Amino acid sequence: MKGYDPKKIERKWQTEWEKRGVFKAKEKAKSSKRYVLEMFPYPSGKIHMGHVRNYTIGDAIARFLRMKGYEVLHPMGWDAFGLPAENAAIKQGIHPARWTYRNIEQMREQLRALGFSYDWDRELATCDEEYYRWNQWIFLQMLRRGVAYRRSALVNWCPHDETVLANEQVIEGKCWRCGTQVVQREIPSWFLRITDYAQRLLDDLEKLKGKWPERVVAQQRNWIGRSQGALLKFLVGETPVEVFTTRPDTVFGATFVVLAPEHPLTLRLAEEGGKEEEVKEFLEKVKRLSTRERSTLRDKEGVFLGVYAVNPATGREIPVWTANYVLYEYGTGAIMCVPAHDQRDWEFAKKYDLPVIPVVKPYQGAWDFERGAYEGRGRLVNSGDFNGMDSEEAKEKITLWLKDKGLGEPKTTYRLKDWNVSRQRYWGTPIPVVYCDRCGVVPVPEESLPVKLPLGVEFSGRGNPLGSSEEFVNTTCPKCGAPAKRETDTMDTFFDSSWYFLRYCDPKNEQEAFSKESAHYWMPVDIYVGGIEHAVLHLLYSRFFQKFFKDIGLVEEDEPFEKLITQGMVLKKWVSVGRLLEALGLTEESGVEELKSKLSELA
Amino acid sequence: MKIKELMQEKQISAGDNVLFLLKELYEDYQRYLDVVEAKLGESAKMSKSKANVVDPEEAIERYGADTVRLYILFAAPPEQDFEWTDEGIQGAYRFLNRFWNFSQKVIPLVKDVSYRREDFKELSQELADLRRRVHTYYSKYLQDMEKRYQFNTAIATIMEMLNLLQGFEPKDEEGLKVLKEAFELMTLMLSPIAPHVCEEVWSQLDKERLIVEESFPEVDEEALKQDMIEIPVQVNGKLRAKVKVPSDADEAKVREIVLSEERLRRHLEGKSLRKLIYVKGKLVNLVVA
Ligand SMILES: [Zn+2]
Ligand SMILES: [Zn+2]
Repeated sequence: MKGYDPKKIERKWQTEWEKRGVFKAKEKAKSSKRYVLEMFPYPSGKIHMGHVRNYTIGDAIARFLRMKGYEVLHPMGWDAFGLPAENAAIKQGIHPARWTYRNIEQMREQLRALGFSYDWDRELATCDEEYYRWNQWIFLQMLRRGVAYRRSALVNWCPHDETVLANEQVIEGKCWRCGTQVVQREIPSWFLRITDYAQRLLDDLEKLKGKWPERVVAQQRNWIGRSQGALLKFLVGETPVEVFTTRPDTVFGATFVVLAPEHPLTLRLAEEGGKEEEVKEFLEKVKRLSTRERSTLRDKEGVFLGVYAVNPATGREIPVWTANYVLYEYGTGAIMCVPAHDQRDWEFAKKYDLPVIPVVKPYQGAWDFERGAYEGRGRLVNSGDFNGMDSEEAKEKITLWLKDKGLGEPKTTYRLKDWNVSRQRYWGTPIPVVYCDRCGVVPVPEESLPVKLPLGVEFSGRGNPLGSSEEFVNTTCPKCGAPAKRETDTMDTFFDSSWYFLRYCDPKNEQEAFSKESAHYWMPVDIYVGGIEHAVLHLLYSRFFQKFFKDIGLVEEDEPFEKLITQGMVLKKWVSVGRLLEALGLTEESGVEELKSKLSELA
Repeated sequence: MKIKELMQEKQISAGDNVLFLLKELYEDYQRYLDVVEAKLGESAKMSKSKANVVDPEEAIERYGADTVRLYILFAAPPEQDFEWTDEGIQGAYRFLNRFWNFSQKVIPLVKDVSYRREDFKELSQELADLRRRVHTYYSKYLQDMEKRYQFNTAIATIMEMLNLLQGFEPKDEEGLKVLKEAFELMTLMLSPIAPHVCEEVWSQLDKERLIVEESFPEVDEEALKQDMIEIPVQVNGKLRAKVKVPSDADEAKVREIVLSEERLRRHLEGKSLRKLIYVKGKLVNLVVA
């Protein structure tokens, strides 16, 4: 009897399956199709156990469904643009394209050795010209419909390398390469108007209930962050300061107003109030913090602008401040502060000795406002005609009362922000627009796509390598023919991965991103397997793209992924040196011989 | 020498894996590492910085891709974290060896045997029982795989099935037919999980098609039907009724049937059941007071 010899058996059948093309997916009757997909990997060069688990789960499902008689589409590809390739270029002098394609070769072999039943004919890499030209085409469709637009955005900037840094390149506030303190800088950037889709993205989460893990649905709902409230006007002389609040019921208790440091009114009002110097100094200090650092600040700091605003409910004047914990990107960039009923405001008020006026009384018991804010429901007090009203009821009543006075209106807002897709990097999809002195921003005509990434560029780590390529930057205006400059920003790689599942349906199409027929046949993805870390960004962006494609008539389904499986992690036991010493009752000051004798007792 | 000095010399810090320190102390550091990990180990996501990474290529080289796949799917349901252990992967490897060895024993016996579903209509009690259990496993497997993607329980079912078949000695042609059907089903069931070894086994059965081109057959509902037997029910020693129960029903199942029997209810009304005695296949006695 022959013994079990996996090596021999496995190679033999991998070759045979491939030779016979048994995993090639064909379009047959719609009812019998299944599209099984695992999140495609970044080609780092080596698969890890997390990949193996992800792909094994998907492969077992695909093989099972095939044997249940379904026509199964099970493709694989590479999320191939991104920072590591560019870092390798800077550090090791190897071109990002060579580094990436070499890694793909290695990883493809590793996947083959696991016997995954992929239709390799459909393999794609997002850095292939044949793929990214359609990124550019999609961008142009968005630009034409106003879904893509340009405005300035705050970025991390290394003054030494004169380059924009990604969040992961900022280590404890310093540049990953040279250690220089990173500063915030405003530069023109391209955005996608995902906020126009906020309500649809929220509503359609209902369709995913029971099919997606609850945790993911909840995270998306939270990320979209719909809140209903009111937009109120606080007048500083003639100048209205607009604030958004979800608690209009507490407006009688607003004892000060805070503007974000970046708010255009901040400096102007400080000038009026004679506090220009102090405020300027404060703004410089805030600029050095990243958005992430600012939203998790322990120490709330602020400066009085020297002016007063009129509380629209009480008619009383209250001071206007600027503070580091208010972000310009959220709401209107200004807030009314009700220290009695908001803990963050309370902390700020206590620090700067601002008044705390309770306007909501708990239904039961007394509240000690010296110890903190009361954020719950209750009965209104100190609120004029509204005294005695339930605070929930008062939200609408007070808003409408202020609306009659021309000082407020009901408003729905979302936490979701428009998506900044500009990256000041080389290894990504060039954004297909041209700047002409005469015509302004001119989209590259579709027939001139792709705008190819130039290969001969220098990777010094300073500035954007694309900017240093004369042959790339200098072009002619597609409209008037005059000399013009190309956009040197490339796209966020999340753009690439927001529609790759559609390209798999029709990967060889040279005329279109994908044909309607193929997309209609295979979509939606029936089972999508991937890590929970993609709960928000990738899975939300893909849903957004799907809806955009639906709007322009390219797909029929509202949602791209029917069933989602988020696989768990692979863990392994380990012990740190510190833990061992502690467990043995030793310190680093103890002797090596003592350690050895304790270890032999243990063993 | 102080530990601190050794650590400085070898550039080891307190947050590093203890492996690096043990390597400096012992030739046979693995032995110490195993003990330390068993006693003090904490589970953590595999990462380079913790040096607790298992390299997939090494695992495949050592055990083969089928073992790695089987282990990963068996260790936990897809959504849950699981801790990679040497015992775990070795267990998966042993199972595939067992499956392989069994296949090499069975294939020569059944290779030339052919069967159709109609052949199984008049089976002996023993063979009908075996077939019923095989199709029960099969139907459970299909549910676990299709409705819930619970590979771990699906694999546990395949393991139970192998145990069942290993304990079966076919005595005649009928027995060989039942064995062949069961063995083929088991191989089909295992193939999405450990595809290579199943493809090899399938080819040894001289099949026309590859296993990846095969379809799962329907569960045989006929095979699932159980033999019913009639047994007398006594209440405090007096015969009160006869009920039908499946021949292999356990006491819990029999209790459920007996207590829902209308004719017995009035003998139990207002009394409390002290004890139910089931003499398998023969008699039920209810002791009431
Ligand atoms: Zn720098
Ligand atoms: Zn022009």
